[in-house]
Order: sequence, then C-alpha cells, then structure tokens
Amino acid sequence: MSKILVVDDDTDILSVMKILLTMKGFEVEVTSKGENALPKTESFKPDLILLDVLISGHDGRTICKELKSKKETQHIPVIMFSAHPGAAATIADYGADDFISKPFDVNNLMKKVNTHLGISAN
Amino acid sequence: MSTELLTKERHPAKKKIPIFPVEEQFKLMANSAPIPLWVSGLDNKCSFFNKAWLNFTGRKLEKESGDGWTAGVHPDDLENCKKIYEGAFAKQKKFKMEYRLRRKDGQYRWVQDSGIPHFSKEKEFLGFIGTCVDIHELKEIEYSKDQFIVAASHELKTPLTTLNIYLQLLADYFRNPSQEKYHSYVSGAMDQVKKINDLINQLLDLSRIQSGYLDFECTIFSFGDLVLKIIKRMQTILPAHEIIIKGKVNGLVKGDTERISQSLENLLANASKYSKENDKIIVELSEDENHVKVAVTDFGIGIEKKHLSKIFERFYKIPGEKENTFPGLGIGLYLSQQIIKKHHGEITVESILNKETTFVIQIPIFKKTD
Repeated sequence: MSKILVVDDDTDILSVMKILLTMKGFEVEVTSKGENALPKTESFKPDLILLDVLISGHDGRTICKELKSKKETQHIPVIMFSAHPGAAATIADYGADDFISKPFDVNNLMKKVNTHLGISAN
Repeated sequence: MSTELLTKERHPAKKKIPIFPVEEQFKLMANSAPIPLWVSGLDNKCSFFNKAWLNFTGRKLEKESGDGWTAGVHPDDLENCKKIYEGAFAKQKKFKMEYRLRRKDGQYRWVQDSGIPHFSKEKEFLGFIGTCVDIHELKEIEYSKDQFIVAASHELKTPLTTLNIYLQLLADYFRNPSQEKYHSYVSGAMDQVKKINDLINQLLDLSRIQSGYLDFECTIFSFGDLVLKIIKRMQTILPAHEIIIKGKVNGLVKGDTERISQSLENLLANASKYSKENDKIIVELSEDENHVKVAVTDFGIGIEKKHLSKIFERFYKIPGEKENTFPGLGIGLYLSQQIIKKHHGEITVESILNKETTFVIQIPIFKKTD
C-alpha cells in the first residue's frame, strides 16, 4: 500500500483528501503545519507528497526545495497544488515534480498521483 | 450734451495693455497652469517645461531639456516610456502613458502623461505638447483593489476545492445505473461549482492583467487544430447551437494555447448567449501571408453601432431593457482582447442590429525567423 503525505493549511481540504485517498487505497497522513512537513516526511516515509504552495507562514516551494535537497527525501515525488493557476510557472525551480491547480478534478489528481507512483491505471 | 462728450463719458481713456509676443503669451499661460506641461520640437527633444513641472521634479529647465527629463523616470518604466513616446512621435499621433516620475523629495510618483502632436497652419508637424497628471493615489487604490481580488479569489477557491471533491466522491457513489437520478443531481451541482470557479478565474485574470502579471506559457502549435479542438469541446457545452466550421488554416502560431482557447471560448459562449432565437453559429477559418484568422458569427440580437467601440472596455455591458437580461460580469471581451493583444494580434467586430454579429480573432503566423 503506497503512502501519501498531504500538506495544506486548510483543514477542510485535509479531511476530504484523507477520505478520498484512503478510499482509493492509499495510506494517508496529513498535516496543516508547514514546519511539520519535514519531520512528518522523515517519520512517515511517504511514497508521494501533495504539497500546497501557500501554507500559513510558510512557502510550500521552500519546503519542496528542502525536501529535494536532502538525500533521504529527494527521491519522493512532490506534487504541488494551488488556487493560483499562475503558481505553476514558479514551482519548477524548487524541484517539484508536478502541479495541479485548485479546484481540481479528482480523476485528474488520481492520474497524476498514479503516474508518479508508477501505478498504471486500472 | 454734445456727441463728443457722450462718447468720452461712455468710453473713458483705455488703459494701455501690454502686448506679449505669442511665445511669451504661451509661456505665461503654461507657467500659470497648475499641472506639469512640456513641449517637444521636431527633433523629438523637449524644449520647454512649465513651472509646475519644474516645481514637481525640483530641477532646472536646463537639466530637464532635451532628454534630461528621462533621468527622473523610474528605471523600470523608462524603456516602455521611450518606446511609446518615440513610436507616437514617428506616427505623429497622440499618446497616453503611465510611468513613475521622481518628485523633488525623492519619491517616485505615478503620473499619466498625455501628448498631443501640434501642427502649423500649413499642417506641418511641429512636435508635441504634453500634460502630466499625478495619479499616484489612484494607482495605490487600484493596487489595493487588485490585491483584494487576488486574496478574495483565493479564499473563495479554497472551500470550492473541498466542495468539489465531496461532490466527486458522491458522484462516484451514485455511479450505479439504478441511481442515475442521484448521479445527475450531483453532476448538476458540480456544473455549478465549475461556473463559480470560472467566474472567480475571470476576476483573477482581470486583476492580473491590470497589474501585468498574467502568465503566458508559449508553445508553437497548429492554430487550425486548436480551433477544431475548442469547437469540439464547446459543442458539448452549447448543445442548443450547431457550430458550423468553414474553411481551414495551416499556419502555426506561437502562444499560450490555454489563453487563446479562453478567448475563443468566450466568443463562442457569447455567440450562443446572444442568439437564443437561432440555432447556428458559424466559425470560419482563413489565413493570409502573415495572419491566421478565426471568425465567429451568430445570428442573434446584434450590437448597435454606437456600442461597438465600447464593448471591449472592461465592465462595459450594453445598456438596454433586453440587454440587461443577459448575465455576466462584463469582462469577458476585455480579457479576450487583452489576451490576443499579448499575442500581437487583434479582435475586431462587425454587427447588424437584430441580424448578426461577427467577431474575428487574428494572430500573426509563427515564422521560423521569429
């Protein structure tokens, strides 16, 4: 069972993402605090991270850069998401693997998640 | 009483008014004006700045003359400023530009500078006369407004994201054909979420384009293929109209496919919105040596001539009893035009009231030398 960590400061979206991803057969951990992203990654060892671009008090892109600069975490695919579609253009420099704009289509999200986890559809 | 006396009494000896040469009169007038003024000559250099200008910048006329004034323009605005000024000069056409000009206290203030070409009696071009208005406060208010729209849009989108996922979960739950009725209810709700999201995106785009931050991701693509793809998608969204395609194009275009799609989709949505009584929309593709064109024609209510020049203005909605019944924010055409302009193209419109309307998008063809 693949493990996914979701980082977003909006707890409502965390709840629904937990329901959605659990339903799709993943083991899910969530955190609404930017500063917990790295420690959670180290303890939970996710196979993929879904990371919001703007998390109260933190820039998700900086978190992504940190993840990508650490030997232990740099292999983990990071999909960033944001309600600012323009944010897509700014994430590549921080090492993010993909981007999806909010609000997103569940099928679209699952397609991206599966692609990065190397899971073929169906 | 003699006639002579009468005249004298009615017209007491006139005070002698000093007569200034025309140039002196102009200077007197210009220096009494409360707003900054400038004059440039045939060599496109500035030869005169009035007192209000000199008081604003705190510099002497000799310093400002020629190209000296450009030293006070904010370095980030200078290039654009020169481009507009020199372009207008070459065409001898009036212009309007906004830039930051350094005030004598060192603060850069946003000003709006309008230049008008002036000509001799023989219609010989003589140079420009310009007026400057301090619009700094206005710009600041505009900036706050844009920031507010960005923040508000973000806040509105957050719960929308969550709502959308719950709805998609529900739609999944009702996937069984026996529950088709419930599935259609959830789909209906999801369509509405999409509509709200589209409206929020329009607001976001508006504030971005205002502040110059609209993002473009450019690729080189076949214009004809893109148009066909858009029509296919829009045909499902606009089932009440049959979209008829005529002609074809081979030209490639360099640009942002998403943004160009947004413009064309908006024209198609408008065509449908304003032609409820008719069920056809014609999309005609054509090209010449330098441009690809797509024309969207509907056979609906049409647009009165007097409104044609205004419909691309932001927030403009054609007034009228019938027109007021159509929904929308009045920013779609403004956005469409701005997007096409950023691609060095243009949107034009022709219309016959109560008969038909045609919008044409024209974009330069990408050539290998570009």
